[in-house]
Amino acid sequence: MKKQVNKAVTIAAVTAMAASMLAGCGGSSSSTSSSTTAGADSTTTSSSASGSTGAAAIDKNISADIVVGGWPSGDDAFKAALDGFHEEYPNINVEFQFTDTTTYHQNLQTSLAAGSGAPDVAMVEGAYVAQYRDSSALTDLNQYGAQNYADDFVSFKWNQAISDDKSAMRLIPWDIGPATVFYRRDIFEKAGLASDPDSVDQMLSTWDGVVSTAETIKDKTGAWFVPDVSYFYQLLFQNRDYYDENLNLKLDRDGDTDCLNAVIKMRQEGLDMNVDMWSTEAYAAYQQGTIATVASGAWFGGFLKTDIDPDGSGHWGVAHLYAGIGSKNWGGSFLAIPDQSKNKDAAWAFISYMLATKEGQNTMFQAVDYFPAYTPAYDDPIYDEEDAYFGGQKTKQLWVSIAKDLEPVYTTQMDVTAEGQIYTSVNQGLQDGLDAQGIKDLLAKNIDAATTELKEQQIQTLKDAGVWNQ
Amino acid sequence: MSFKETWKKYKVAYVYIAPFYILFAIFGLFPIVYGFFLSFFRWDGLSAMHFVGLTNYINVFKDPLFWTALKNTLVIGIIAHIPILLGGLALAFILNSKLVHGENIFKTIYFMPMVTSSVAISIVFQQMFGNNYGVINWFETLLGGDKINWLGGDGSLIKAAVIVMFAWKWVGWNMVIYLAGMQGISNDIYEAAEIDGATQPQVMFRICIPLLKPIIIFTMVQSTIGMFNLFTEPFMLTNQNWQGGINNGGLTLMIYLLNKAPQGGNLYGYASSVAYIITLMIVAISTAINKASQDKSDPDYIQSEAEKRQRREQRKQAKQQRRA
Amino acid sequence: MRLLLFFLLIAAILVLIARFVPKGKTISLYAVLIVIAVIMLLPFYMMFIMSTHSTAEIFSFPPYVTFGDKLIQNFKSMNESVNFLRSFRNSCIVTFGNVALVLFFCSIGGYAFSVYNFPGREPLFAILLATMMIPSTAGIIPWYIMMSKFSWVNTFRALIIPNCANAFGIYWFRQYCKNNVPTTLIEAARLDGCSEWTIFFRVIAPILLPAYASLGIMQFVNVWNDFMQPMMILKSPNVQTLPLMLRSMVSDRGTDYGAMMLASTCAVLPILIAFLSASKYFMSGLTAGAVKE
Repeated sequence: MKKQVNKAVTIAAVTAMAASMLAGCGGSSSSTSSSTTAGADSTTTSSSASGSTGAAAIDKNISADIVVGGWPSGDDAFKAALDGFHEEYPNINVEFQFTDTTTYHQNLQTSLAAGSGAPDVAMVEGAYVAQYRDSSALTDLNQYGAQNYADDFVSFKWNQAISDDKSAMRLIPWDIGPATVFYRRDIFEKAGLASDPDSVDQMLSTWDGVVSTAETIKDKTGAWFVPDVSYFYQLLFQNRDYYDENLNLKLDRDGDTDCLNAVIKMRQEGLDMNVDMWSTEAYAAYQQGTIATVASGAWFGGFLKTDIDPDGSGHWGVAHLYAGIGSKNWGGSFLAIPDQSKNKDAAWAFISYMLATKEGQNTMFQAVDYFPAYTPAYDDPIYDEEDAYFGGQKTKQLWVSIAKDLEPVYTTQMDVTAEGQIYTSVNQGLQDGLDAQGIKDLLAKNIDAATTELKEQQIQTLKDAGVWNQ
Repeated sequence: MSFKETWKKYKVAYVYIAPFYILFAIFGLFPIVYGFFLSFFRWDGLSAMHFVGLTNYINVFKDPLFWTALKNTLVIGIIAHIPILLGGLALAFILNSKLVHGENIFKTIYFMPMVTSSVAISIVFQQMFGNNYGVINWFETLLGGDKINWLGGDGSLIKAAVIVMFAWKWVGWNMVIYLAGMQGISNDIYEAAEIDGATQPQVMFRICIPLLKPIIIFTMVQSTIGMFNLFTEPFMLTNQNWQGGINNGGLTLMIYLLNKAPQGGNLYGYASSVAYIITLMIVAISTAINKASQDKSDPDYIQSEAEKRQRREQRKQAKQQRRA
Repeated sequence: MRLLLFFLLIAAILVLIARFVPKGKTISLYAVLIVIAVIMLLPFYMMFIMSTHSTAEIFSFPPYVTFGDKLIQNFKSMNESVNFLRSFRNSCIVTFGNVALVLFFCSIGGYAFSVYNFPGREPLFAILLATMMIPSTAGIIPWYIMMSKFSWVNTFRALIIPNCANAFGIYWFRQYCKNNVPTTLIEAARLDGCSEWTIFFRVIAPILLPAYASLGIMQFVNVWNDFMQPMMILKSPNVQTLPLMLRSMVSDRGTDYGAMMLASTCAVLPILIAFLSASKYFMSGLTAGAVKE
């Protein structure tokens, strides 16, 4: 692991002074933060710096037992990178408490509300970041010099974690999900269509192209084009930028009418399977080759490879989003340290190694396909590799190019609920035979109804942060 | 009787019942009181609490989704009660009538749904009601019909699926309870009725049902509580959708509550007020069922009323004596 | 509309059943009973069937309705993803611990309410009944806060002890005692010089056996299947109970339905066996308890 030392990684390295100071009071795993950011702005690389140096160094010999909580496959990722971590911090024992995403988040919530029972290092799904970034239940990581990493992370993701009053940074981004279309090469071929990514990009570059391709595929192979057409429309909102800073719903998107018209037409012609893309029915269909395409974040590639279609090597390809929707991000998570943790230093050592070093991030990426939000990681030969599973395509290059294109957005606590309304509202609209405008109106109505109380809470949060002036 | 004497005489009784009240005071009371307190606050569990008075309650009543959830819950509950009550009664009557053998086998089979885990069995039902691969749609196509999108479509059939599950689960329970009640009715009554030439339906409607009334009421209150607690079945059937599926078709009050907190979201204050509203509804409906079913001509009722009046009189007299 | 018709149909069938009774057409009675039994058993059957198929087979059309050959494969996959025996043991500890305590506390409580005419009996009983109406979800957050203040998170205690306050159980035993415990028996025992404590254990408890069986099974089922409280309390994988284990098999990355159905089957079988073996007592306990309100 140490061989991978790369000076570029340690842009925000500690000064020798800070390092020696910390060494003086290290060794104990006291809960009070012993770090200082004094001089941490310096970009001097300390002579002893290895690839895992954080903004504020933690004594390498610190001994502690920490609990890391999250959902699968985060544990697989950490386990893969644990050897490297233990080379740096041999005396930090790590216990994993992992369960499914929903249960995990509820547990985290209640533990934070109750003031005890939370893990020392907590995964937080990107969708919930607006709830957590202002919470004093999480440790402000700027005291460990987190702010010095700002330029090392995709700013789209980084900015979401900055507290609303800009004073604190409580979550460090782990991964992002550059959104792409995953398509079955074999189905395209069977339908007599070109199956290389460039041609597919070309074919799907307009909604008319999408519809006619879907028709051809249905005609020639009988396969559905997508699990559910409503996800076309959701892609327009995939950055989860549902609201502006005055909390007004931003419903109008470029090309949304064309998109919805395609949605309506495709449903009428029976070109989608009409099941949720996350249902087991859909998963079975991806594997059996009865669905031709599905759009998702880069991590979905890992789902396909290891779980959904492990024997499907060579069947799949990756293309840009439909109809020039552009660069979108789908999902990705953060790590945080609950304030109740008794081992914050060790927890920070864990986070900074796993997320802010090239070897930490890339080891995890190779294990579970969580695409790093940490940009220095991209400077590695693995990003130029061909992926045999995706027919030898250089998929990682595509994802890197999308990652670099992502623009920062404003996120709120209502985003998840708003997103949840799209699938049900569009399907309801299609069932009722509404036109594009009708579906949009219905969606607006449903989002309003579902987010009323959340909006009140969001306003309260902004008021508490002193940034709400209405 | 002085306090000391009472204690000495009934020490055993107080010791016997004490565990419940002690445990309840520690583990039950605090959550309930604190939940009530929370219902007047806006709190996300992550930042400061803010007192908002009755705002949460008002907002619940203003929320159209709350009314949708209430409507769905009542529709599911009321329709499901038809097979649960009638089916339970009919099955119990058949098994009690000694016309068939092997009633223990039937009893056991009918009761089995009650002892299974809702999570596991909901997953089975989800597969059975599945649109493309489900067993039920397969039967449909065998019978020459079209596939029905039970759990999708416009969302209205989700309720049907939930009702089927709900009835499937509760019918056996009710049957067993009714059967127990029927077996408690003395055989002499049946025999007398038969000698008088009563037909079986007459026996059922004139003798069984009136005598079973308290038990029927007990089961109705129980399944009403079950109805308000309906969560796992619709939630799993809609692929764990917090909106209760398309068009909120399967949104029940419990999904609505848990979506606010603690499962779906973290609006603890708001969720507490929803919980209290649901509690009040349960209490109101249970009381209404009890009141409506009180038979003013029932000797037991007259007697207990008389006792109550007597006790009231005594208390009044005792007071007057003390004053004098 | 279709919904309504469907249930009208069911209602009609039930009316028909009632009509058949007087004519003594036992064949048609059997037919009805058997059809309903089949409906009741169908989901169980499907669960067993699915546990012998791969996920791909479960999601194919037409569906498989007979046993497949993937049982061993599912078993392996289940063992890879979860530790069934550990969860089974945890479930047993929680369930037996709680059921034993509930039966003990409820039987003495219900007995006391039924035989002793102590001052304050009526209001205390009314309070007890009132507590049954409150849905447990109302206070789940404060309850969790309390558990964490006691440092009971991740312990079985938190699931065993608080749930011992079981109002329904006390109500249940009170009913049963009222109907089945003759006061003469207690008086006779008292004349023999037995202490109240001995009376309960030597004389009363044996009479209550069917009530123990029926409440025991009901409580067993509730605790065995409980999901909400264990989910909040038991966080480490090594204390997971069976429902938590089942839930952990559901994954965004694709759920192995075959393995999960097998795990469900294995989780349901113990209760089914317990129920079937105690079903005689269970039913008689219900009968005796429900004789009069």
